[in-house]
Amino acid sequence: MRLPRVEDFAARARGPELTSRVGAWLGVAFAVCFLTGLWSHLQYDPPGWAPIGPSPASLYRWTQGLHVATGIACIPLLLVKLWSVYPRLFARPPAGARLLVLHLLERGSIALLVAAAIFQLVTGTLNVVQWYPWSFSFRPTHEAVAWVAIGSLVLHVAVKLPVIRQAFVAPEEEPVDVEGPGRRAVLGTALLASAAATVLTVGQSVPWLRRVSVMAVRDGSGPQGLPVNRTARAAGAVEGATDPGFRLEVRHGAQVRTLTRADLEALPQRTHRLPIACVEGWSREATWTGVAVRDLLALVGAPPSSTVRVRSMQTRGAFATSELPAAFVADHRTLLALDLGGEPLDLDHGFPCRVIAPNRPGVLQTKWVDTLEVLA
Amino acid sequence: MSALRAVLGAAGVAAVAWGALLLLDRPDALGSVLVWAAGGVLVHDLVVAPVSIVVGALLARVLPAGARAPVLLLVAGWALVGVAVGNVLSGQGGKPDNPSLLTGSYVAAWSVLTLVVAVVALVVVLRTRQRRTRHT
Repeated sequence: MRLPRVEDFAARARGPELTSRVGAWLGVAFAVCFLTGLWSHLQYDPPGWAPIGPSPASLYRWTQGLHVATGIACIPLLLVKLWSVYPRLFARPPAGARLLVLHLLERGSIALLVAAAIFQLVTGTLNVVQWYPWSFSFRPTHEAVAWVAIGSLVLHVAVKLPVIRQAFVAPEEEPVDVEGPGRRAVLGTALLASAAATVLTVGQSVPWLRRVSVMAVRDGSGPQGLPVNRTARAAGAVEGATDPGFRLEVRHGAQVRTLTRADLEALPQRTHRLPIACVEGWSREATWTGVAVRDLLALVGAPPSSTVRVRSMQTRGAFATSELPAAFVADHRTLLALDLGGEPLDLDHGFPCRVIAPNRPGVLQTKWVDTLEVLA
Repeated sequence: MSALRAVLGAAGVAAVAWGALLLLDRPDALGSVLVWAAGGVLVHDLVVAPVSIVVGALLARVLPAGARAPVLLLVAGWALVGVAVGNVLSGQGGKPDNPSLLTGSYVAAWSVLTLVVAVVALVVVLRTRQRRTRHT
């Protein structure tokens, strides 16, 4: 047996014309994925310069829904792109030291791009179903490899720019003597498959597509008609949350107020319709009732433009504390919610009380809250 | 154009370097990251690509000439979507105490879709055969 050669893979559609066109779609999808992903990472620890605030309330719902949807849309496009260039894997290296070095550099950058691209799509889609068969931490790794992917993609475009230009400006005629479907048909199939995969899954973020999205990870169901990301049991919060002696502590320096759930219910209530939007792409709007966080701060004499640290009674998992930046605290829609859809919060939705703020990633909407501490 | 290429190339290298620095921030995780990054390429290059090329070639040999392109594309489209929804078809993930995750009957839905694709492919093949008999 011998190693295959480039010429062994005759297919009518293959060539720079198809590769450039699939690549252009894929490049746009990757760019959207990268930017929306970067935006999401910024939410976790917002730097001062970032324009991140409570309005528009559904912004994160859109950016993160788009992130996951474009990620899924990339999968068929990437596979067709790789199919179109697969024979190049068997191209023999050129003779001559200088050409050989250039060749190896180009090969190395492509290997990096392919590895990073597959890595991002695999880890992203497995995170969505909460399957973690690896030992790295998902979020920081997905962010780091995103930079490798987008960087090697830009480098790849720089290297291939003359070929891409040629393929768009003066495409070669399709060979007629070679078997197989034509370029347009293959490109059309790639785009259709990409669209189909999107429609079959995007119902977790787009409610009116829920019935068509038979492969969506979530159909929007859950306790009180709202999905749950982490249950009270998984977070080790059951004991604290169901303790009849529960007290919320609101702290501002030496000033401390403790409140029972009945005390909280006796305070002026506000009701808002706000979405829960998770990093996994799913989102759902719900009607929340509770006390505005700024009203609670007033009880301990803190101004509404304060940053607040929120602590949960959860004993397991990340994000047991979160920081609510001043811009969110100042907004009267930022609630310490007691009720969901007119009923007391389900234990899995954060009973006895939880934070719900407009335009925040779900994981920062801290559940089972027992302490609000004014930081500045 | 060469100036544009140089700027793009430099920006690309800088972004890769930044990503590498971020990865080096967590040296404990590096081994697992490398295994998964290299594993993805190897699985594609040694399994996914060869298998799809061989299956395509076999199908092309079996199919009548007129049905070859449409049926090959149909099967390819089915497989592409299948990989894209492989996460929910895998049967992995989810949490036993959280019924709001993995809510669908994915295998059943996929079986129905597969059946539809198979029926359409069969109809295309039969119609090609019919047309050919009429011509001869």
